Amino acid sequence: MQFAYSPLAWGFLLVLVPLLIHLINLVRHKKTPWAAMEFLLESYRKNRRWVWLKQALLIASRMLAMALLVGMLAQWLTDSKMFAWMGRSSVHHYVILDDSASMQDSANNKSAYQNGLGAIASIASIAKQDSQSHLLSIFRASRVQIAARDSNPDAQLIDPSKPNDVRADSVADLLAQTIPSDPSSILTKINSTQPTGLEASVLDCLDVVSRLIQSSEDEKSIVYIMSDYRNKDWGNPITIRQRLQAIQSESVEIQLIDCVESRHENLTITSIEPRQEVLAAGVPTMVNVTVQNHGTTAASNVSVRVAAVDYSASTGEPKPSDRFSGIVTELPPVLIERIEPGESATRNVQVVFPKSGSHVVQAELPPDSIAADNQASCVLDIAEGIRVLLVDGDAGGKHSYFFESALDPGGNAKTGLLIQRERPEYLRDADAVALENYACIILQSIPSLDPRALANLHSYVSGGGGLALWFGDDISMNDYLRGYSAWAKPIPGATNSLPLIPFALSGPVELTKEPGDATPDVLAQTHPIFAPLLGLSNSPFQFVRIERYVAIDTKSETGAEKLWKPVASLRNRDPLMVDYPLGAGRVLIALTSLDRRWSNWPQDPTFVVAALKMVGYLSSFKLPETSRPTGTALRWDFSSQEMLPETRLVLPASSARGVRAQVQINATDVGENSLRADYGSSSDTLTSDAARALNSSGVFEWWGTSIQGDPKVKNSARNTPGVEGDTQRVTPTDLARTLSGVKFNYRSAMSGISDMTLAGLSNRNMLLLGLLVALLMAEQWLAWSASYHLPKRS
Amino acid sequence: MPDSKNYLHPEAIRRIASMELRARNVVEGFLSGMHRSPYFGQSVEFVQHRQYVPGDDLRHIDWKVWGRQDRLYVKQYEEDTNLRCTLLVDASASMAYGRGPLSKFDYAATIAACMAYMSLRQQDSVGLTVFDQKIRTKLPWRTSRSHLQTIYKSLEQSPVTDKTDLTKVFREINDTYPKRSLMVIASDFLGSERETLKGLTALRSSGHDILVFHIMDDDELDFPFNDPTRFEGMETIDTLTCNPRALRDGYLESLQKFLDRVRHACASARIDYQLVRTSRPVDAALSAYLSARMAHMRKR
Repeated sequence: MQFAYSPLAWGFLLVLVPLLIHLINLVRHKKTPWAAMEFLLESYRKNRRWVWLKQALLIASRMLAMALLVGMLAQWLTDSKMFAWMGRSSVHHYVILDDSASMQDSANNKSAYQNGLGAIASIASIAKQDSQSHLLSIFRASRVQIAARDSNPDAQLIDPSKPNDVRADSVADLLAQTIPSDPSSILTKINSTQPTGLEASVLDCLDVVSRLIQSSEDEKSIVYIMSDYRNKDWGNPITIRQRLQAIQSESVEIQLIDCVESRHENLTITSIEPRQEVLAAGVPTMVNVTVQNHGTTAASNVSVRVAAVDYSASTGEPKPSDRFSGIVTELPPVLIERIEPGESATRNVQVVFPKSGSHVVQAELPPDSIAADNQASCVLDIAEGIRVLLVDGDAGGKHSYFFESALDPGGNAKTGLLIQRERPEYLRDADAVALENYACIILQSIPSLDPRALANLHSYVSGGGGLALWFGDDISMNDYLRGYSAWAKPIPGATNSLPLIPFALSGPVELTKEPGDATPDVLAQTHPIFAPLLGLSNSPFQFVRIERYVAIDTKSETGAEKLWKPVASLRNRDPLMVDYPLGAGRVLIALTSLDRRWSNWPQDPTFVVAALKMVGYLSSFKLPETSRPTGTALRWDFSSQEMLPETRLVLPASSARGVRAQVQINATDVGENSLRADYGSSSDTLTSDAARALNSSGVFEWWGTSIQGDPKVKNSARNTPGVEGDTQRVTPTDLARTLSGVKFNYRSAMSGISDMTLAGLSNRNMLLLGLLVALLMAEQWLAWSASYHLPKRS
Repeated sequence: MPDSKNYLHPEAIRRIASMELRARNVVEGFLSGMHRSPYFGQSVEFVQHRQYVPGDDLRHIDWKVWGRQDRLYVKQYEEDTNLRCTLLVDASASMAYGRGPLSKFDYAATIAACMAYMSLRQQDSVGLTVFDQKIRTKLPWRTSRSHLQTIYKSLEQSPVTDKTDLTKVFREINDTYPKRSLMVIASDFLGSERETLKGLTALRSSGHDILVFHIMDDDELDFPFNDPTRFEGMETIDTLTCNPRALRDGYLESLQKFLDRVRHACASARIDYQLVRTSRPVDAALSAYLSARMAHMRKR
């Protein structure tokens, strides 16, 4: 049994008062000697049962009246269907507050989120003027969505069409709170909240609210969805419509509260990421910054401020009072002349970090309606050098000469690559951990490989490594036809059933040339390897001659025929270079050799470019993510042999000049010599400031200490998803069309709340009052009937 | 001139402790209000003249003296005993009840004293019997003035303790007073109803004229109790704890039936019956007595 004013339920003890009064009266009787006892006893014998019955009924009626009175005052709530006919005992206002990044949309110094908070205050104010009981529950979309995600850590398996099983009491900001005479007292907490930097949906909230409504059938329910009604969420809201249809009923009212007055101009940094190049200390890195215009008019002369934060030059201590603990270098702003509505523009910025470390590049747009998408960062984990393994089939390493020259020319030219040449046997003898140290492996003229070496390479590529395969004279026809057939078959015992190369080889073929044919021997496709060489008026490969190449057996069936794609083709349209994804890594197969009897490409300047790009491309699949969406849990894995378990996490500041909060986190064992520092939104230690920071975009600095006592820093960037900057709104007409079958009211948070009325709601208390009056009348009749009222004196 | 009616009110009576004074005051007060004096002798032996006072019967004025002296005198004769009056007063425990100025016994004793006073002034012979379940005091008929003091003393000293058993008492009285007389019975008749009515009928059958004063307290007639009360029987060991208002109607109904039966039985036996509340002035009782006495005289 539930009551709106639970403490008043103690008043039910008052039902004993009539009984106590009766018992006390019996004890307090007066003694009177009586002469006419005979007639009194006769009356008693005659009326004994009737008097007892009336007296029992009288006491029972008084006790029941007392219970009804207390029940009325305490506002009895019940979900019993038996009492459903009595009418709704209370009105439950379920507020779903969209606190996604787009709710930062501001106009006149007031954000859409603040408009939503104002609408909640108005609802509470209207409700308190009503005589019956009003309950208020508030759910923020971000909290529910994060809880739903945490309940199913494998985010890939979350199906939005399936309801979550999040518990309401763990995610509600207010749950079934009775609206007091002063509603501000219960709204203090929610009023102190701010919109997050997340891409949050109201779907999960609707699931939670739906379950609450189903569990309290006797309530009149009003579901308010306070959102900015963007086209991306509400343009074709099939799932939302299904959810709303599921909760709508006679006792449920759906109010769609629009918190934005009109569409505003907005620019969004949709991505900031380094090109697929070698990230090494002292090597210039190009960072791409993409800006999208989500407004209705073209944006001109957009200036993007870019800052490079070098953590290698810092003092080695976190600086919570500064924006970053590293040394901030403002780069020349990037100017974008014009961005048409709905269009994107990408510009690159060159940054150079002289030393290794976890460095940051941050881009920032001028202020506009949505602040959350004006800033984005990426983390560049710069190493001192990138290790490249060259495996040469020739004992003298003659095939590696050109790659060694191109990748590590020496002198002032610094590529950041550390070349290591080995014989094919190394692949057999090295374990998987040893191969993990190489950013990519380049095989040249390998006649055959031991099955163990093949298994190691397969494991290396599947785990994100890059493998380049070149051929040569050291490979016989028998090797092509038989030895390489093992490459085109699944590796026994491997988790990935795909082969190391996607096709069988037929052997070397001479490339014939028709007289007068001016077609270059190499026809490059659009691919990162050739990106700098494409877009020219003439083919950059016009001086490249391919004399011999390895033909592929197109009839072979390896199970991976459709996975590879040509990066470059020959004049005769046969593939020259093939890109083949295997697991998390890539295999790049160059169907020729750098030997002069095969090709003169090493003598062409394009080879150096392509070689460097190839290494950059192949090594990019092992690079850590440079940024992730806001709200993603933070994690730092490290070895217990290198680092101490105590770490500190410095959170982004809530305001531009605010001090950044710090959280002490001890890493836990997750395996042999492996530690993991984990900090998610569901952490128990999360304070309100920390939760707010965690759901905001920015750079999170992990600080740890090496076992030698040196400070170590690892940065994580969290950026607001670009779609949150899309300000295109759905019109009420479109909303009515897309939500057909759902009965709802559409109101504006700024003007539509004040005229909202809660009239027409029946109240169980009125019925209780009626029962009480009837019971008191019956009590009076019983009392009169039992001669408990003094007779009129004649 | 003080209002003579004041002397009839129980409140006034209660203040007079002496039964003699109480009787004199009551009777004199009662008689002074009558237009016709009840005192007139039936004897022919002249005793003296007395100056006329208002209320004296005009037939007794000595007109010859008036003719000689122009003054009004009445002739007084030595009256003869012409009535035997037996006063039967119930002194059972139930007669002790009374929350008003007088208990039922006090009221009955006052009535008896008043009647004795009036009777002896009329030269009637008066006897007194005080009883409960048996006769406690028995005074024979006498006409002397000194007998009045004996009656007063008996009434004042009678205890009210025991049960009522009127059957036995009436049988004994019937045996004790064989001659016909006027029997005045003052009782609440709370006891065996059947035996009581049987005894009354037997007395009447013996030729006695009977005047019954059924003395009842206001509480017994109205039952005005409101609060939870424990009623303890005065002549029995019965007790009852109850809410009086719940039993009031049933009690009054039973009581009324009892009174009706007594009244009906008295009427059937041609017994004069008066239900007297202890809160009422005693003149009702005295008027009833005088009416009964007149009727008795006419019969003689």
